[in-house]
Amino acid sequence: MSPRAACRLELLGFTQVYDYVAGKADWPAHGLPTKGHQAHIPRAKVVLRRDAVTAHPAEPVGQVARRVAGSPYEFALVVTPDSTLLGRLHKAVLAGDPAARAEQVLEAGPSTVRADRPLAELAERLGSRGQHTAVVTSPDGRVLGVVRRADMEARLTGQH
Amino acid sequence: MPGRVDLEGLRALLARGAQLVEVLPVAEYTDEHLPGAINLPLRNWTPPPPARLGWTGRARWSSTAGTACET
Repeated sequence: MSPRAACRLELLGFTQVYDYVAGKADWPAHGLPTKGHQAHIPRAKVVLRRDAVTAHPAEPVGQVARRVAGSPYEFALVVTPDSTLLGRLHKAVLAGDPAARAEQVLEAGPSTVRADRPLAELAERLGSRGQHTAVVTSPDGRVLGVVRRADMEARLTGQH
Repeated sequence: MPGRVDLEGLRALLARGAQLVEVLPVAEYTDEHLPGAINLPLRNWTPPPPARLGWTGRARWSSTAGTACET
């Protein structure tokens, strides 16, 4: 639809026409605000936390584990310098060989959610799977943060 | 050929005063749209072209601002 509209605008005489290739859904998926009747629905971005430990792929696990010990979570996210998510280091791995590099022991391809995911739906999904947190990424795979089920449930019941 | 922009490109265009146009049907626009976007449903486009974009009837639109289209 979008490229077709852009071409038609050019045919009408507009000289500077651009197609937002990723489309409308890309904007809120990056945690950016929207307008309209559905814009008020609470979404993952309203409880987004940026306090999860991140690690460089070549970083020794022991070094990461020390940071995780001082964080609210039991895992670390392994990311590239531009914040692209490569994987996750779980509690058991963090307690393992401290000399291992993060990239050697990470869990590749952890499931992620988008920042515009409705809270109620996401809380239910996490609850049904017995999960307490979810990693939030942008459509291009960059880590935006983490959401906690407890935060979602509190928000949905009006506790904060 | 229309240009193609990603999120960063779009934000740069908006900062320069570009008009964002949503071409989806009205219902989808009223449900949710990007801040500042106007709605010109593509299926409703019949000559003359949408006046809301500043078309004056001349051959070219003279504004220096770009027009960004979203799906």
